[in-house]
Order: sequence, then structure tokens, then C-alpha cells
Amino acid sequence: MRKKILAGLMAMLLFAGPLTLTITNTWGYALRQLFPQLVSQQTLESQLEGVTRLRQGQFALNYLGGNKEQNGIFLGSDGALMLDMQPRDQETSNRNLLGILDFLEDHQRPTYLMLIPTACAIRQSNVPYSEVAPLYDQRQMIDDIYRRVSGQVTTIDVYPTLFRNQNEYIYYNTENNLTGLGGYYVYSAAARRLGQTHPRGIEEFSVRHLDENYYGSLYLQAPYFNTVPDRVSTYTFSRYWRSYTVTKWDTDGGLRRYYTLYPQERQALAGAMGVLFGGESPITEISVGSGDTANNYNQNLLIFGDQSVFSYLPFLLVSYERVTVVDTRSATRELLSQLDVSQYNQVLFSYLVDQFLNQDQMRALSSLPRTDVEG
Amino acid sequence: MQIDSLAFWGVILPALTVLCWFCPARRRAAVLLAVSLGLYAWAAGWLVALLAAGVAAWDFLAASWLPRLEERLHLRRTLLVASLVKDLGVFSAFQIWGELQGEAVPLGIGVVCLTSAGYLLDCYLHNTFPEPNPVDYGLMICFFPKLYAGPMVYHSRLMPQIKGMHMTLDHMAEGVRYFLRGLAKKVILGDTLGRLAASIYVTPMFEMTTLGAWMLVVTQALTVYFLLGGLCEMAKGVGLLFGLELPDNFRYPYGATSVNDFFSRFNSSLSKYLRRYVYLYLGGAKGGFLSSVFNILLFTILMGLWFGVNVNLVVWGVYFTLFVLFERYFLERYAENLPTLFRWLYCTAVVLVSFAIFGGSSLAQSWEYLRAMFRLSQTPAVDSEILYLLASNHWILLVAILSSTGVFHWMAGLGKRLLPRLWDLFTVGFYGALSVLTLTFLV
Repeated sequence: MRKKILAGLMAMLLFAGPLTLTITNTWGYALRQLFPQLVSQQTLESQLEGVTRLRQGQFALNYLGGNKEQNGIFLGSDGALMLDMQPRDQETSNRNLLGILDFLEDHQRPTYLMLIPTACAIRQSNVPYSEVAPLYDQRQMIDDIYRRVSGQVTTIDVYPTLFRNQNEYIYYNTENNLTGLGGYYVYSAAARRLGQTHPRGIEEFSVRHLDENYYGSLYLQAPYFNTVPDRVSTYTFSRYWRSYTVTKWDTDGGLRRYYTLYPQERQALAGAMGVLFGGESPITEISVGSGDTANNYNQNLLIFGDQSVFSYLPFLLVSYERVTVVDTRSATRELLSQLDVSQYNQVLFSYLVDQFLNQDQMRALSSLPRTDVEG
Repeated sequence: MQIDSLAFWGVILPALTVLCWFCPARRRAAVLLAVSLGLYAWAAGWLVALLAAGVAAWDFLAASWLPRLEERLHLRRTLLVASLVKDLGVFSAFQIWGELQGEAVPLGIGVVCLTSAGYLLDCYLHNTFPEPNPVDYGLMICFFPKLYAGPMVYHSRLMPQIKGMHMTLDHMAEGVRYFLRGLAKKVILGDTLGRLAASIYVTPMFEMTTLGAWMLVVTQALTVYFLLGGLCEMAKGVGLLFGLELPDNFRYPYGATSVNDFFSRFNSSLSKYLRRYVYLYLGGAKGGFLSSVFNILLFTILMGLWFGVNVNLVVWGVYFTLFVLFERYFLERYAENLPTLFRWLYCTAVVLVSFAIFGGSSLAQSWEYLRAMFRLSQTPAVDSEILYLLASNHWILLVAILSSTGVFHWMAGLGKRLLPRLWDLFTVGFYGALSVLTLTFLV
């Protein structure tokens, strides 16, 4: 009888698969392999949480087996996820560099270049098996790029500042991006190079925490069970009064406008990250109204960049009347054709190293209206 | 539709089992054949499935004509030869095409061609009778789970089971155990080690270190075992669910203590097939020394050619021939006096070196691997990249090595003997956890 019961229990394990799929609500992923046309992408996205929980088992087992880099993402010794930055080829960064130089030639504006190292470069000691991990030398790469544009473009080196403060919470644990504090350190290194004589201290900004349990895009790719979640915070200049008008042009041609840097209603729609400047969009324009006449606020800044811009933008905004951010990953030729570069006093190209090395950022810049350069 | 997919494990297999359970026993073969052909067409494409069905159908008809040609030996032999040429020709053509195009042989072609060729030979040699029922015959040839990597089956062994198809709780329990174990071997160990082997394989030869070369052959050897062995165990498990007991195909080959022992454990159903239809048919070891050498050489080369048609696999076979002969004519005299550990170390070294030949894309590349392994070239012993890979995978390598040598199997036997009641409960819990864990690798 006992043997029969045990045999029955073992045979019931045949249904462990369907049972697990039911409990985790991930039937869509199984059915999609059978009938791909019948299972929509929305269904898969709605079941992403269950799938992520399931995949934790895979990542946990591999992690216990010693593999602390999966899907190109390290789990650091402090529970932070770090993208393993490796260049795919040399051509992409060359194209990006030439794109910047072509822009300079076409538009003749004071141009700045800032390459921001990623977490695995700055926090190398936290990379698993750091003594033998084949990390890409981002310091060397940044120096090479800066050497090639020296004399034409003003370069901003943030590496030493970030490295000095590596033990602080300057990179998100679950996103490939700087935190607000990391953004402040970038600002502190960039401000003087951008001509600001009095960079603001961090005590002049008030901090508000939006989410203390945030899991970002790196976690979706590599759901290690012992990852430390993030705290998403906003920084607002509080020393003097400021008013902000944030206009966002979306990929579908839509336009959104907010009168705050951090529209709270976005949190329900797009999570904590969606609150920061209304979330990512191809073009974001911020106009600043100021009550402080101590500094000259009639400067306009144009930034071509990636997701890292929003980390230091709250601090940069203090010294500008208008800042326009072009996310070159998503900006279309149609949107860029309406941008008048001549209205801007300064142009900043700002990228995380992995974005500059591995993504074609400048392909749409040729559609910017040319400025007539007086000879 | 792959046998190691989420859809198969989570949807098709449970549904098919329930369907067959409630189906009358005499209809189960037809249901299983229909589903097998459907899954085969889904996985490999309609054309391949039709071709395989055509190959099998020809041999079915040819076998049914053989009894009528008992008096006409010449015609009988011509029919056999034509069918065998067709079977081996189709298989060889796809292997050559795959080698030239850099693609894998379509799923199941090798298993279908060789199984039906073996069946026809058995009918010709009166080892078995021609099967009158095309459904039962079709199931024997095209049973879906065994199309990936075997095992090779014989009509005399499998047909009585197909005629009965007794689905019992005990068989189902054992089938689930085999299936889960095979699935875990394939997706957890095999695929992981395969990725590790691939990451070492792309290292340029001038950067290859001694440790890197050894890690490459070890991971390749383990990958082959866990991928193929896992698929064969899954096939056996699925077969047991429906009352069909397929033979074991991989039985801890890296625990072998001689090359002969290795071939009796590694792809053993193919080894037995070649022994039965080639080696023994040609006389085996009964002839003189040269005849014996030729037969062994042919046997080992054909074992290699099963995996593909290239020079490296031919040399792999030749390499093993040397050691088979060495053992037969020299080592066997002293084997009893040698410690088992020594014999195991000798066999493991021979097998690992063979994978330097097996895994190379050319003889030149294999030679470079061997030079790096034995420090015959100016390669460093280690570098940071290989140390990083070793650090990141040391536990999985250890588990894989212990598993492939049968250590865990021995420990399981010990546990069962010492604590039989507790062991049974532990087994259920273990396989329950394993079922969920393998699912996490499939999403």
C-alpha cells in the first residue's frame, strides 16, 4: 500500500508543470510556444512578474553554482546588479565620435562631451571574482576618445569624482544608471567645465523618496534572489524659488506638458522612474522661471544624451533658463527637424560609456536644420 | 516543438498521458503514433517528417515481401541491399549536406533510417518476423521522444510492449523519474556546460592556455553526455509513461575503467546496434588479427560517423581502435592486478584526449588543442579569462563530473539501503523540487 501511495505521488509529479504554471500565472509563456499567434505581447507582459519569480530559481541555482554573471549582468558583493560593459565593435564609437565632430562643423556651437563610466568600472572591487574578471578598461577608452576630440570639443571627466565616491549610493542597484546622488557628483564635476562659477552644494536641494523598493530593468534581465532593491529619490532646488515648465514630445507625436519636474501622477502609470521629468521621451524641454537674480540665467543648454541625463539634470537646471534634452536613442528625424540649434548657448553630448560604445546615437542628427555659419 | 520545452513539459505530456490513460489499450498505439508524427512534423517540418515516414514505409513493405521471396534468394538479397542502400544513403546524404552547409542533420533522420534498416535486416536474417500492423511498426520507428538521440530499438524487444501498452502506476512513477532526471540533465547541466564550452571554444588559438584546453575537452565531454544522455533518459521516461521500456543509452560513461567499458556505457544502444549488424556480421574477433583489427576499426569509425561526417570523427574512431587493440592484446592480461583507480584514470585520460579530436573543427585545430594540453607549445598555463570562467562554474563542473561518473548514483543506492523508508519519501520530495527547478530553466 505504501509503495502504491509513493508511486502515485511520483506519478502526480507529471502535473507539477501545469500546476506551477497555474500558481505562477505563466500559462501564456507555455501556450505561446504552441500557438504564438494566439498569445499577445500584452498577455506576456501581464505575466512578467510570475515569470520573473520562476526565473529566480534558475538564477539562484546558477548563482549557487558559482556563476555570478548571468545575462551579462554581475551580482556584486553588496547585492547590486552591474552591467558587464563590453564593446561589440570599434565602429559604433567611431561613428558616434564622427557624428559629434560633424555636428560641431555644421552648427558651430560651444560643444561639450561627457562620457560617464558605468558601475562595473567605478565599483570594480564589488565585481565578483574582480581579480580575474575580464572587465573592459573604461578609463582607457574615455581617455582615448577625449584625446581624439581634444581641441575641438570641451571634454568633461567625471571618472575621478565618481571613483572617489564609489562607496556611496551613486549607481542604482537594479538599473544601469546613476542615482540622484551620483548625478550630483557628475554635476559637481561638470559645472565648472560648463562655465558655472558657483556650483551649488547638495544641501541646497531637498530630497524626496518616491519608492524604497524599486526593481529596475537589470533585475528583469537577471532576477537574482538576493538583489538589494533601489530607492528612487527626487532632488529639488530649495534655496531659491523656481518654476518649471516641462514639455515632452513623444515618439507617437504626442505632446505632454507638466508644471513640475516630478509629476506624481506618473507613478501609477509608469512607476517611480516615470515621475522623474515625466519619464523618458525623445525630446524634453524644460523652461525655468527664477526669482534669483544673483546669477545670469539667460543661458540655454541643449543636451544630446541617454537615460543618465535625468540623474544630474535637477542640479544643472539651477543655472539655465532653458534646457532641452534629446534622447538620441529614440529621437526621430521628424522631431529633430524642428529643433533650432542656434537658440542654444551650449551643447552637451552626455552618455554612459556602454551607450556610446554599443549604440548608434548620432544617426538622426543629420536631420537637424543647418545653421548658416557666417564666414 | 522540442521535447525539452515548456510547452511539452507543461501541456503536451500531461495531456497526452491523460488521453492515453483513458483510451482503450488497443487504440493507444494509434493515438501515440498520431501525436508522435504531429510533433515530429512540428519540430522538424512536414517535408522531413514525410521523408522519414517514406523511408520507414518502404522498409515496412520490403519486410512484408521478404517471406514471399524465400525461394528467390537473389531477389530477396537485392531487395535487402536496395533498402539498405536507401536507408544509409538518405542518412549519409543528410550528414554530408549538413557538414557542407554547417547545419545539423534534420531531427530523427538518423534514428529512423538505422532503426528501420535494423528491422529489415532482422527480418532478412529471420531474427524476427515481419510486423503486420503498420501502426505498431510506425510507432516503433517514429516514437517521438527517441527521435532526438535514440536509443536504437529492436523489433523483437519493443513490439511485445507496443502490442500490450500497459500503463501502470509503477511504470508512470518510474517514467516521471526518468523524464525529470533527463530534463534536468539536459537543461540544467547540458545547456549550461554547452554555453561554457562554446565560450572557451571561441578563444583564438594563440590565446589558448593549458588550463583552457583542458577545460574545453572536459566541458565538451560533459556537454555531449548530458545533452545526449538527458534526451535519452527523457525518451525512456516518456516511453515508460505509456508502458514502453526503452533501453538505457548512456550509463555513467565517465566512470568506465577501460575503453571497451566506455563503449558499453556511451551511446550503448548504437554500440550494440553496430556490434550486432556490423561487427558480428563481419565475423567479430573470430578471424585473424587483421580481420579483427579491420572489424574494430570499422566499428569505432562508424561510432564516430554517427555524430557527423568529417575527418576528425574518423580519426576519433581510429584513435579508439588503437586503445581497444591495446587493451585486448596487452592490458587485459594485467587488468585484474591493476587498482580500479588506476584503470579509471587511464580510461578517463584516453577519453578526454579523444575529445580534443572530437571537438576540433579540423585536425590542425585538434592538434593545437593537444599541444596546449600537454604544454608542447608556447602557451601559458593559465590566464585571467580562464580563471574567471573556472571560478564562475566550479560547482557546476564538480556536480557534473560526479554525476557523470556515477558517484551520485552510488550514494543514492547507499541511501536506499541504509534508510529505505525515508529514502522513498526523500525521492518524492527531491523529484518534486527538481520538477519546479527545471521549469525555471524553461521559461
